[in-house]
Amino acid sequence: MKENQKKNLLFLFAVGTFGLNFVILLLLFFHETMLQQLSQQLVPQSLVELADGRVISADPETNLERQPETIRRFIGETMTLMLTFSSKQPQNEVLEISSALLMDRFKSKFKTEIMKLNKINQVTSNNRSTESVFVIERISQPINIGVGEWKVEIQANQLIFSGSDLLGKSIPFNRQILVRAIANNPLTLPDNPLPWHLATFRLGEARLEIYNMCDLQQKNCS
Amino acid sequence: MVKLLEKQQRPINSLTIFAITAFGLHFLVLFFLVIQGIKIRQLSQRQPPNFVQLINGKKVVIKDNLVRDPVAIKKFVDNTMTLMFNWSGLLPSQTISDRVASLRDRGILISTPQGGNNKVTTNSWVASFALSEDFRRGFLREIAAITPPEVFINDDQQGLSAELMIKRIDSPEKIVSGQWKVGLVADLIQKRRADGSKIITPFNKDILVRATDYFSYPLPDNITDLQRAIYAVRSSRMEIYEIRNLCLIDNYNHSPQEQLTPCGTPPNSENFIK
Repeated sequence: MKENQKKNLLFLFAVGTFGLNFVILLLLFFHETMLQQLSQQLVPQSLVELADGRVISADPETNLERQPETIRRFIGETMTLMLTFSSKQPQNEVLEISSALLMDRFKSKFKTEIMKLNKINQVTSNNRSTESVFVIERISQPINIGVGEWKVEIQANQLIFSGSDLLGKSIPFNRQILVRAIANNPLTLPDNPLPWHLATFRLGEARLEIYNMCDLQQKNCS
Repeated sequence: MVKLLEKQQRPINSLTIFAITAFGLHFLVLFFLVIQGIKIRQLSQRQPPNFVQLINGKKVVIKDNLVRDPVAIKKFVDNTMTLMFNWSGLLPSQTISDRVASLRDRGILISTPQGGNNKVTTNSWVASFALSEDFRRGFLREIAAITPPEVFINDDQQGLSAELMIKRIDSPEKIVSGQWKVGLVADLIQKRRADGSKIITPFNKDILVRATDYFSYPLPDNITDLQRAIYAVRSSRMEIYEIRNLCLIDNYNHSPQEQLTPCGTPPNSENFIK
């Protein structure tokens, strides 16, 4: 009698475990479908509310993708910011801050190149009456050269006006510029940001950085 | 012995089946859990997506940024040439209050091709940035050579002013993608302030325009007047890269290729302003 009761109990347990197992398996199947949905979910046609009250809808793209216009504008505005200077826009300061948009390894190379350019063209950034205006002629369509990496050709002139010379001296700036997508804005704003910090921060919102620059003719630019 | 075995096997049978299936199910559940765990990890490490603006429900892809509206090209030529030859002797007005009491233009000193120094009006100087860089300096020097110094004299007896009266601007003719030829028929009218006597010089030119790119300076409040003037001109995203004499006669007898070659003077000739 006692043994029979024990057996019954054991049997009940076995059926219970089996049933529970079955329920868990069903639950897992249900989770699986949810996971499937989540992994495919890319929130199409998301609502974006702009500061001025207007709204736009937006489609997602992968993290390392950028639209051609985004790349062209980033390069155009970055180079304009870096190579336009005057007494109102002290060159050293602007370069120091905006070089956050360059890859770390490339920073020093770029600075020496700018210094060399200034020396050749006898531009002294300390001279208060010297003014430089960066005038873009063309920026090519970006060519994809790897995952999240692009090459852009820029044709521009740096116009130097010094003192009474208002005819200006023009220095051609024709380069291949290589950019790549990065995960975060390279600049974090300091507590008391200067206008240059704000401008660099806004440019950095494209999450792109320049990692190399070569002459137009150079073949093995990478 | 046999009886004992039979007696022991019977209860085990049904229980073992349950136990084995339960174990098998357990194993299956574990397997699914591992797979789902991997998926969840992948999802948690997935980089957040970027978002691209949609216009009318579609992504906008600018395929050809060399396209310009013909009306915009005509307007650009009109504005540039008018400003270039607006020798009123007054500074370009930036605000309405300026316009009421326009300031006298003291001119900008430019060295002429002949070697001397001559003044151009501030208007001409500003308009010159609508020319391509290889063309601008030479052209501005030419303008300096032909700008009469009387323009800058603040005296009604000797003073002189000049303006370009545009009579006709042809529709832009496409040369290649992003380059156009625009015929301009105009008169350069120089007027003496004292007696109003006029000298009229015909100014009939083919103006070759090309599309350029322009990206604004990221800090519009932090630029100098010089930079503002240059960027305002460049923001039209076009530039003039050549000015030739317009062929008014024989316009219909030319093959399209011949039409591109200037008649009379060779390109880049010194006397493109007659």
